[in-house]
Amino acid sequence: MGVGALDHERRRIAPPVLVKGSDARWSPDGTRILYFADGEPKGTQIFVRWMDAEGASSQVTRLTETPTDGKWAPTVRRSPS
Amino acid sequence: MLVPDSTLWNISLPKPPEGAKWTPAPRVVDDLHYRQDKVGFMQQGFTHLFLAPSDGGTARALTSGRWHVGARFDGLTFGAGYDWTPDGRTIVFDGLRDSTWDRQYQVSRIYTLDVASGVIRALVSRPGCGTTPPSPRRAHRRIHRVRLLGPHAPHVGPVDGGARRLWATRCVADFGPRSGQPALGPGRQGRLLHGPGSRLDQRPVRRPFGRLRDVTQGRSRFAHLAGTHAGRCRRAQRSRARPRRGTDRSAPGASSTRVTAVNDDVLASKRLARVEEVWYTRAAGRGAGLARQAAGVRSGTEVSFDPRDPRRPVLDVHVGFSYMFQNFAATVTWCSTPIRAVAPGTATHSRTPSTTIIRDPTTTI
Repeated sequence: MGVGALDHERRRIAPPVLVKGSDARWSPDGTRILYFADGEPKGTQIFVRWMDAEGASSQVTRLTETPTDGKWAPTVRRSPS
Repeated sequence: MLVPDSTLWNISLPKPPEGAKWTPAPRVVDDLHYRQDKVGFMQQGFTHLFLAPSDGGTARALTSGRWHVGARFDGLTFGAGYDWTPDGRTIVFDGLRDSTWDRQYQVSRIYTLDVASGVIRALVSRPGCGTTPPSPRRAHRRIHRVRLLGPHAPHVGPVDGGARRLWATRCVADFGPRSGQPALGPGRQGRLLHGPGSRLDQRPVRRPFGRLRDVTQGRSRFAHLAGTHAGRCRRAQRSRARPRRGTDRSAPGASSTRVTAVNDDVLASKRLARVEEVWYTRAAGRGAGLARQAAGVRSGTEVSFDPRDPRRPVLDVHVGFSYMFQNFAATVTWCSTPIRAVAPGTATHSRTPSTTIIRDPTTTI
């Protein structure tokens, strides 16, 4: 499953796929998305992708259990899992 | 995230011969609820909240103990309901912070967690059983959730009421059964979006038992309601001829706009049959023939039709996801034209039992 961005004004999906993952959530300031994808050491992990031209993505958890339902804190700096 | 916790099989056995592969140790079950539909054996452990830095680092446990974050329906897990307060200092969550949770039927409470100190405080004095997570909102520092204290009824109250007095819940609506899951819209009005089966309604939460007002027309089913500050509501909508799709609607009074195109590629080469539902109140006895609702089919009602009728009856059998959806198991519909091609999962002829909706077109919300 891929994470895409819905362009509401143009009524289309653009671009088709940003990254491979699921359950994407915008950060409160709109600069990043949080999403879930397979990572290290095993299974599902939480990733953060910058929503700029470079689109750098990094794995922010290294959990042995599967995180679920991550949400950004309003202060942007942390996300619970 | 689940924190594993299980009773180990501690009977000592001889060491296996070198190179031998033994079967895993038996699973020791000491919980009353240990399996779930579509899951099988539930994972052994407890669901708790963790805080992870968004720039990487070790996740910190915010809650711990032999209890679960997340309201449970008879021990069954449906995720953890929680949300941040707008100031980022507090997390409001539901669950049952009690080691006897496994023996309590449909009981949960709402708690506040001070993120800095880790102090957890029960926010509501009376337990209930929630189906939607608590939702803190900035405007009035109120939270909203559905609690099964009597009918399905959302309650609102201040998040920080614990120090002065326990939160006094206030029922703001009474939707009755089959209400679906409401969502709290943002803004000072705090309008409550609500999808009772086939319509979408909204009402101000500050007006206890205020009148409902339809913001959509026609038959469709809604899920995942959300509101915007501009008064628009977003929802996933499913109709008879189309699978789930996202729609955007300015409420009330404007038309819906479709914003996603799920399965359009699949349906592009398909010609869907026109579906006509036949609804009428069944006369006494068996003379009427066609059942009004799926329940008639399920209960063995004889379904008959006039062979001279050019319309063709179609028995649409739904394989229920679980026992609770078996009321949608079968519906008889009539098609005026033969079905030439039907893509799987695209024609849904069932609907929920009718729900009484109080409407007053003169109400302004």
